[in-house]
Amino acid sequence: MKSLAITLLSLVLETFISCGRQDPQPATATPDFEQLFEIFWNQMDRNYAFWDIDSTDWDGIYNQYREIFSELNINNDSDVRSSVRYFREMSKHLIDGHYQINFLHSAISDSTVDPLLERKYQLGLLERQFLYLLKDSVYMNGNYLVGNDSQNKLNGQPLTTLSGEINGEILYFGCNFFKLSQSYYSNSSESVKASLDFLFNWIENNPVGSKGIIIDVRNNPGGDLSDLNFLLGKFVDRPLHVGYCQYKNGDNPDDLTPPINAYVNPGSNTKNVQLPIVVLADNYSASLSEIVTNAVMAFPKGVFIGETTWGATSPIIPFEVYASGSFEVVNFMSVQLSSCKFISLDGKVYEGSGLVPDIFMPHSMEAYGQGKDVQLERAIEFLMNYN
Amino acid sequence: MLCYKTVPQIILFLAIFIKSGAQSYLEVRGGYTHNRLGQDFKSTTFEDFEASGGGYLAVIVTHYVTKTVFFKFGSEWVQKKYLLRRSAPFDRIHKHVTNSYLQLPAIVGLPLISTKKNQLAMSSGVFGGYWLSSLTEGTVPNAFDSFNTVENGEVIQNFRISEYSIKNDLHLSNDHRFEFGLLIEASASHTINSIWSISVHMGYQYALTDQGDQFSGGTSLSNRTMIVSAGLMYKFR
Repeated sequence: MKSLAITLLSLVLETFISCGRQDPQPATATPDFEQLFEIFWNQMDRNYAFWDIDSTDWDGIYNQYREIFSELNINNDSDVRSSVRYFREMSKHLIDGHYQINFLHSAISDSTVDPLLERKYQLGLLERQFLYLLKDSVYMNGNYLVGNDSQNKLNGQPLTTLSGEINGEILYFGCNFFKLSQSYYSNSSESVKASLDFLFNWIENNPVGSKGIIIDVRNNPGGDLSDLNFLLGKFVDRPLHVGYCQYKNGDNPDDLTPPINAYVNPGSNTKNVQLPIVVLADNYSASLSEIVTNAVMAFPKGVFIGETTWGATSPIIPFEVYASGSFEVVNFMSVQLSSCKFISLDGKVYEGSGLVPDIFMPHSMEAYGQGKDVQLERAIEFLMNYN
Repeated sequence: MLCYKTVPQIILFLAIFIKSGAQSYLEVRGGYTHNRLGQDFKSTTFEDFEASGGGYLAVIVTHYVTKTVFFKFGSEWVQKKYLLRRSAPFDRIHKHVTNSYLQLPAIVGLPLISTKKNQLAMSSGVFGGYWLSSLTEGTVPNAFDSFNTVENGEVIQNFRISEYSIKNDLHLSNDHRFEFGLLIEASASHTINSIWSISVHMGYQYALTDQGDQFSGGTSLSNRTMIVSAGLMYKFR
């Protein structure tokens, strides 16, 4: 088998969330603002994967801001704070949903630049986050399983999974982020393993009269890329073509490979699942959750129900794999970037805009207060009536 | 003012060219190129770069002004390839670039050794070229064609390598499509009869211009091309 064994431990691939901040620059003293700007501009010029479709005139940015930065003094905290505003202005239209600047300089270490988040905020698109996962156990038959892994955390929250049957005919699986394979194989949590085994056994045995499967990635910010095959690879017995990816293949802004096929590959003990599969996703489904959503939509009977996703549809891979992606500007800031450009099967790039559901079903605050999950109910209704 | 100097020079050149007794040959050549990038090339993505072989076709007119001086001019189609490769552990990741140029060489030469049937000559000159096309073939780790293995409880994601091929769009604004350089050539010819001769050549072309765009990080992409060719010469004058 022609392959490159790249040791991307799950721990490293947490970069989907926490980002690979490998530093391509040698660690030296903080340079002045003119040098910082040059490093930042050149690294962006080289590493950003979306220049061919992004509306930002990056060359124009150089001409516009080089002079401004040359007049800032790195030893003046007021100038340092002003620089945040300039970085924000320079980045405000970038479509990369993973793009984020975190500042290392003590005067601005509490500042971040996150254009997609800021655009959503300005447009009033940010809704309250709904936490359905454990509440939804009320829809399960009595044999549902909750997994909890306090050794695998994100933002202080332990990995939580929920798997069970609904009406004895529908398989449900949800998780709050993706670190499933890491948890499963490291045996860090018996309950997560049991929850996943329930899922895998159900797929393998596929009870007679089953109506379908629901994968719930709502409010899920993503996680390890290896979970794509770990989870959906159980549903296929041959590679499933789910889209395309363009990778950086050189130093110039337009150095990109042509679109290369992207697959969900089967693992061991897999089955060609013929049942309809519904993926539930919402405005806070991001990164790998969107990749999973896109992949489910590529199944012959895959349907996406819910809301438009976050818009960070391309992955973050550790810098050394493509010699591209996230980077640091010496002692001043770290910049998180997608490593490549994901393209859906319809040929469209949903970076920055998010995947659009097949069946739009918004949250209902009122129903939520009554302990009801209208999106899950819509998914159940869809599967029960699927012909 | 330039005109006053140039016109007499051209007239002089033509006068020499049409001088009775001068010999002229039309030559068709085919051959092999071995191209590499200049030593000042730098890349963050690819640590190593290697020379690569390509094709060569040319139609050349050789005009002997006297028995001891000749001029050559004509047109050449030259493939200038190079290979960029990453270093271990990513050394199976490479990018093979094939660039094709249409070139117009202008050469002056001196026969070093001449016998009744054979001649050995050295020549040098300049060339101007136009970058016709560019093709990139390469390999890349495919993050979306992978398989997982487990070692000591750790999940390892193995990326398969995908191959790709892409015809590059060349833009006048970003790519320096006009190339200019110096060349040197050694030639040997053998006269078959009063009209036909065969020849072999070994040349080296040194581009003075680079291919990169203005925002390519200051690196230089310039060609250094060795050409080995053989030709059939027709004496038409």
